[in-house]
Amino acid sequence: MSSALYAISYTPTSSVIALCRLEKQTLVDQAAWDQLRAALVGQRLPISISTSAPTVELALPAGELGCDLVNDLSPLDLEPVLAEPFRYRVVVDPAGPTVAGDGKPKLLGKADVHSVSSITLTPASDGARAKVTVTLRDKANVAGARLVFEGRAPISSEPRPPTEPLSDEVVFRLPAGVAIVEGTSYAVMFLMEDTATEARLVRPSQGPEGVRALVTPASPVTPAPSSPSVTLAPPSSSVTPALSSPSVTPGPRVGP
Amino acid sequence: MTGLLRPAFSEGQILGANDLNAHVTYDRLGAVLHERTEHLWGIAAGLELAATPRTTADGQRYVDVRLLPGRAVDRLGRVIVLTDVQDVEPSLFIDQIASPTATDRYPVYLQAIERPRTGDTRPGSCATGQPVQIEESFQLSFGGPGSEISILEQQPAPVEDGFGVPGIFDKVVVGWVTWNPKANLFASVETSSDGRGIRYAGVVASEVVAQGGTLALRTRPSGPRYALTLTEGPNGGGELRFGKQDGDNPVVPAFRIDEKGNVAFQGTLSPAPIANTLAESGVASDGVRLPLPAGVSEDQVDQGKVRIHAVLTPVPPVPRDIFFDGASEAEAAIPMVVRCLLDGDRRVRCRIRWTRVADSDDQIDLPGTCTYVLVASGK
Repeated sequence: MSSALYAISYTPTSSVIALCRLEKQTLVDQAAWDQLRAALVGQRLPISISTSAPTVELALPAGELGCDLVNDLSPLDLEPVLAEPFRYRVVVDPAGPTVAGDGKPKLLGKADVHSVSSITLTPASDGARAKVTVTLRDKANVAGARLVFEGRAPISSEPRPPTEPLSDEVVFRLPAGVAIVEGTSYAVMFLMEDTATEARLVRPSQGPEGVRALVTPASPVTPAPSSPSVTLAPPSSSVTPALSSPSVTPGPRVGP
Repeated sequence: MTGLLRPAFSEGQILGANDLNAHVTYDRLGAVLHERTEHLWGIAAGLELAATPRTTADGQRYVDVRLLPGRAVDRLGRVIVLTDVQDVEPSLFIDQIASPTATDRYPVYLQAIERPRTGDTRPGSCATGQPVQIEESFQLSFGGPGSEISILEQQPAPVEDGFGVPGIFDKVVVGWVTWNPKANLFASVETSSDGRGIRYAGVVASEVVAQGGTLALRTRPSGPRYALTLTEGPNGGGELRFGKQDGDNPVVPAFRIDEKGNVAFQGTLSPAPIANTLAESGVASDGVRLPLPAGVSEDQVDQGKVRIHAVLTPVPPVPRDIFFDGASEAEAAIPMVVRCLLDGDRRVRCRIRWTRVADSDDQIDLPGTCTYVLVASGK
């Protein structure tokens, strides 16, 4: 029996999280597809994002993942997909309405309609819970965006006013139990439809809520009290690659 | 149809010769039927042809042949007993074999014959020519090359034949001789010819039970030999063992199997067993759990009934532009595989370290993809 490519995607955003080519399966119903997904993912799918030891992993629960057969790709088309699967999404079949993980063959498309400009983490203050703010390079309908904060299940963004469905800023309020410690890096992953999946290590900003915090790499940074924040890469810069470290403008690095 | 008739005597009965002979006949018949039904006919002990090398006056080498004492049973169940060494005379051979060659092997037969013996004259009794004893004797004879085939293949006479009617084929092969035509003497003695060997007495048994916890089969009564033993061990153990044995020394095992079915052997299996293996191959990215080959269950793996062997090979990434810390633009980077393995959960762990070309201290680890071969083998 020939082999086939299967994509494991985050169903709310159709974002490709992992790929696996294996012997083509004969799956007759949704239960069979769920069984294949369980075999490939287990209880959760770990995502390694660290830039240096120790490795930090995020995890997506199996229940929010879909497993789809991907239509054949030529070797040349497959090569970039294998190199950067996080920049792809499963595309619904033109023949009819489909969703990720419904058992129908899918196409892969680039998730490059929108891109992330910056991700900031703001500690709780004055009764407000800590939040993560994702800034996009352009406005988009962010209703379906999700954020995975290390050790936590994916969370939805704060609802937008009906009159302003489009925004270039997505705010995620962290659960009340999440304690943010200054100087500590936290792994986050941002998933949104038609957007390359972004996973980064961020440190909380030291300023009051609303002040843009620094997106930091995993390596220690030198505190610079005189400069509490750093401007991120300008919107005109290239799209940040999936799972790469954040891009920031050259200049002094600051920490909490 | 009747069963065996056992003589019965009563007080005051005048016994005649028939009465006494009936008693002897009853025992004889019981004995031959025992030999024919519970044993396989052949040589039971001894009866070996022994050769003594000699040289004639003109330098011809030959052997004197003797038949050593022993016991055999023929297909009729008759017992042939030789209590003394018997010379095997070349003259007998010359009388029976016309134009013998130097290359052929001639079978030597032993055949049971009965020799009536008359009694001695005693005072008060009339001299008589009636036999008073039957000597269960034998005679030696030779056959042409290959004539032993029909002798060796004979089946025992059936029970309904009683004593049976002795014929010219009711013989036992005790060996073969070769001839020296120049000397007109025996050249050698042999124990086989063209793959045919001496037929030895056997046992007919559907079940053999040992009394002491050890059952053994040995290829010879003593000396260097092979043995197959079945032995009970302490604490309920047991062992089947095959190997060489010298005298009564322990069997040196070439093959053993214990009470749990564990097998140990010294040689090689031929043909080698075909391993029951199943394989799966493909491509998987970091974080994916590799599926088991079709036909293999997680339970089999968990219970150790199936072993998993995995070979992972990273898909070679090509240098490309990467965003490094603090950079506003992607920069050229060189990849290097820092990890590509399968963890205990059978999950792929493949990571690529990208090093900025402009500054080798600037590095970032990103998930990678690998090809895999997963082999499941039964234990």
